Amino acid sequence: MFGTPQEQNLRHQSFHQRRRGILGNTLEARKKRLGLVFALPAFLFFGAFYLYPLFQTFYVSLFSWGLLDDPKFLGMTNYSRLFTDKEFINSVWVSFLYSFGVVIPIWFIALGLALIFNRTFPGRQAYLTVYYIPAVISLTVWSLIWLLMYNPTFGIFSVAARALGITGLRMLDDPSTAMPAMIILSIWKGTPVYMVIFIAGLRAIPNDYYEAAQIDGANAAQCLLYITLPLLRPVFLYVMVISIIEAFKVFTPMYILTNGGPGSATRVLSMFIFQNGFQYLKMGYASAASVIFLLILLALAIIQFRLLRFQQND
Amino acid sequence: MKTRVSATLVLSLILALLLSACASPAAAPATPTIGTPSTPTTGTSSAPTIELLYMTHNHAPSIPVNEAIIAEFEATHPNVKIIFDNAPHANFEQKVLTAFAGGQGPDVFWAGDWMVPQFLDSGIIAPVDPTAFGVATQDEFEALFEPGSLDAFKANGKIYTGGISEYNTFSLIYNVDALKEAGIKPLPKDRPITWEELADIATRLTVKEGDVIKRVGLSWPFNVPIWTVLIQEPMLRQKGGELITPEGMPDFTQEPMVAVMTYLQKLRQADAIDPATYTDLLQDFANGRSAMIFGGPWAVAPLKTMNPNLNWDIAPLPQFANAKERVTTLYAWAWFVSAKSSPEKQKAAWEFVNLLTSKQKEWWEKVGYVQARKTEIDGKPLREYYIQTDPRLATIFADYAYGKFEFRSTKYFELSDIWTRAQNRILTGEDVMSVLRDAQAQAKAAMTD
Amino acid sequence: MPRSMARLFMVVLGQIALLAGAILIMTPVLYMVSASFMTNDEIFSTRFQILPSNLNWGNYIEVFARFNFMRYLSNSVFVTGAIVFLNLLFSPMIGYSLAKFDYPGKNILMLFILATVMVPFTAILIPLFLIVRGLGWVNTYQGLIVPFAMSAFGVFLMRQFIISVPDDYLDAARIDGAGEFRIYFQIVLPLIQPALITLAIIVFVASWDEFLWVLVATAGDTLRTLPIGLAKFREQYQTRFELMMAGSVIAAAPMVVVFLALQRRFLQGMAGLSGLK
Repeated sequence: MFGTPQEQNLRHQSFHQRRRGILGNTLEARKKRLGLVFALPAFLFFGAFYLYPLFQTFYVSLFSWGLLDDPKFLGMTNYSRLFTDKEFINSVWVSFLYSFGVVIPIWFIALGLALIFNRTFPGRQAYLTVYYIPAVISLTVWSLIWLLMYNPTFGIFSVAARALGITGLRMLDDPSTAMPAMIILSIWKGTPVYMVIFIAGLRAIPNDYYEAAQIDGANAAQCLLYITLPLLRPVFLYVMVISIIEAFKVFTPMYILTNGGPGSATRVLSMFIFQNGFQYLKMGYASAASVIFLLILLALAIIQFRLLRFQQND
Repeated sequence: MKTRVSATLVLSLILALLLSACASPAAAPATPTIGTPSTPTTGTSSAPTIELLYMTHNHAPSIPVNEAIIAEFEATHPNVKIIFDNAPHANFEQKVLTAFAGGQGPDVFWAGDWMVPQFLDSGIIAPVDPTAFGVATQDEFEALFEPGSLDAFKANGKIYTGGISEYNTFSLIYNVDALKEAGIKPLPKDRPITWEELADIATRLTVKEGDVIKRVGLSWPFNVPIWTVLIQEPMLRQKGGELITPEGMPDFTQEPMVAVMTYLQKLRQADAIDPATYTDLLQDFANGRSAMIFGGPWAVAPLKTMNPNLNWDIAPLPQFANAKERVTTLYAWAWFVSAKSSPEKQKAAWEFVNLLTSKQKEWWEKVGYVQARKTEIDGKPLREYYIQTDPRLATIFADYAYGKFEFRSTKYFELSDIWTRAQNRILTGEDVMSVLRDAQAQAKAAMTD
Repeated sequence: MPRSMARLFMVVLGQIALLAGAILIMTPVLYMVSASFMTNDEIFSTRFQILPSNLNWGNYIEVFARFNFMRYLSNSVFVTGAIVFLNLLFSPMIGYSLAKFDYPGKNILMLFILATVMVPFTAILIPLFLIVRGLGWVNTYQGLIVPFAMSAFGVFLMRQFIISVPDDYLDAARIDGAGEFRIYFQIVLPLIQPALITLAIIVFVASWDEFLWVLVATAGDTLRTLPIGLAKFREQYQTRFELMMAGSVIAAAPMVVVFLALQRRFLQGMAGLSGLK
């Protein structure tokens, strides 16, 4: 499932050889030990700080716990309640809507911008900084700015819309425009970081490939399709997986701008979890929802890993 | 090669630890670690040092006042050290809850009256110790405060607070010039107008250019659950309803609730209110973006600072024409002492709260908080002293007499969220009955543990 | 000649598009900067206003004088600096092991690392707090830094970049007799330099913005960072927008400076790898 073709080769080796594992003095065994050495900080760190919290999440989901009192064992009751909870199902749906509404445009815009910034042109560094700035402003402040900008009377967007002849926009108070409003806010802020990642990925492609292709007479589009994009695949996988995870976790704008409303139109799953955990003091319920949150993201990640490996053929 | 591996790893780890543990760039005074058991220290005083953790939200003017009182208390109680922590208002509950859940809960803390049922249920708040306030019995303690002000803090015959830090009701605050423009006389102060009259006035106060609302007639935070309760509950009770029935279950489909929600929907349809235009309660009002708001005594000082030229006045909270009784709202922030603290800490904590509640003058002048502990300042009883600051406050104080605290429930937060979602759905035009039925289903689910 | 005219036209068009995009992107940012110089009633005035009537530095002065922003700023710099350093130290190592090696538990480790960020922070906040408290690190700098010394984002990023490093280079170096750590430091790391800079940038931004953990793991202002400072402007009954905008400009400035500093090296990237060493 994971790994380079090199690792797949290793797996196809004879059972007898693989059985040696990390003991012994073969090259493979030494490499395995070395891999463990390099990975040691991860085992130590994540084991120390995150093993217990992850375990706790699963464990607490089997209980009813009000944070301040003693937990009561419930078994799988939290999960069965979740699946009949209309708010929970709505939250899952809203989260998918929001997350994919945000990440899919980001993938295209960030890649496009990165391709542009990959070339030299006058003012490149200045422009790059400008395009990067929305990323460095805290999301809370960003949300408050957009609260002002989304005001249907005095906000910049409404004024601009009226100048273009569009009237009657209720922005955050309308279920059909509230979610797009959140999405636009998030795309604005989220794109620069992924643009930077794509630029790094593009910069890592050696010029030799392009030179060789040009000698062979390839044009720009062919370079893009047959050299750039395939070589960018590992970075693309990163952007896809991480952007979806990040989008699912966000709820600050929803909290500040609409508190999940109107109704529950912007009540994403991470907000549902937060409210149930820290406001309604239903930590068990929130943990169960967190487990499902984790499983959703895990499933999405696995799908993406498979998708991007399927086309790999070198 | 292996030694190089380990050497590099060890060096990196040492470097990392050194970096994180070394002194900060700005010289940080030694902060006592919280949670360590109070060890007896031999010093000038022979009594062991008691460390109290005091948590409040960080309403900016309140911090210097708290700090001054802490200094005064520490001076008169040399064996007590108070650590003062505050968290941003929006995240205050999380901070307190996480602290308790992590075993480092505060010994003295602010909290809202609506949290009392949850705290009681979890056993984290202690009943008051009257001796710390210089009286012998709980009844004598209660007599120190305005009648009825401690109702929200009573359970099982005990009182669970040491005093209110901020005692509030809502009245109607309106823009006099806006009324004049619309040809409406200033509202009477001796009797409340009806909600029906309010609807008419608010509609006329809304100023539109085309279909853009330049000024909305009436405004309040539509997305903040506690505001939904504070505004709708008096209306509900005026109609004889109560969110929680005597059986202990919420009822969103009761007749009075339908009436209130229908009224609000009509307000919206007439453009008397508009959630889309709401940004900031006081700012919008001060700058003429809204013509009427609901507010408590805390609104007076900020409004004067924001816009000294604004000509505003206060009228009593409206009542329904056929109201069963005159009802306004009451809510309060108060001082609580943790039941999880040791007896010595609790005793010291109650004495600290005694001092905190004795500073009515400072709390009013510097922070704008109305207190409920009776006293005389400059020879005047508290209420008269407050009204001195601004005669308009007299109207708000008259409304206190009809005030009732919000519904008591361990599920306050979830129910108020459900209520708010229902309100906002109804305001977008959905059918009242079906939204309320949805809300009722959610509320029933919320009540199952 | 028509060909170079067409190219010039494309360049000019491109510049215009880029400029238009830049203006569009910067509109909220410019609004923020503009609002930071306004007074509260200018921000909320009924006359739609983009620019302040005059350059009012009062907000900035108040933010520093009354709201302890110098302390928050220096704490943020220290804490974030340490976190970035630790991430740069450890993430490439772990990413390297995940990308170029095979060992028992590797896939589980990979999934586990990803899982740590796939859970909402709500769920792990209290257990993490209990761990840090058990270590005696509440209200210390270690408590703010060490739990973030490694992150899934960093590790995963490194893995993806190191995967692209051709195995031939590494194997050739091994055949030449180079030690493994020498290979790591002298071949792998230089080859992923743009990625390392990107890692620094990502971790910088993420840790600079960390709010909830700092709030829960500290007591009092001594160790608190900028996000806590910014949250102070959302008061009980009003939001001090004008101060928040000023505070936000102050908070954003260091990151812009860091980005500007790193940008040139970042854009240089790999001039080209011509064959094996």
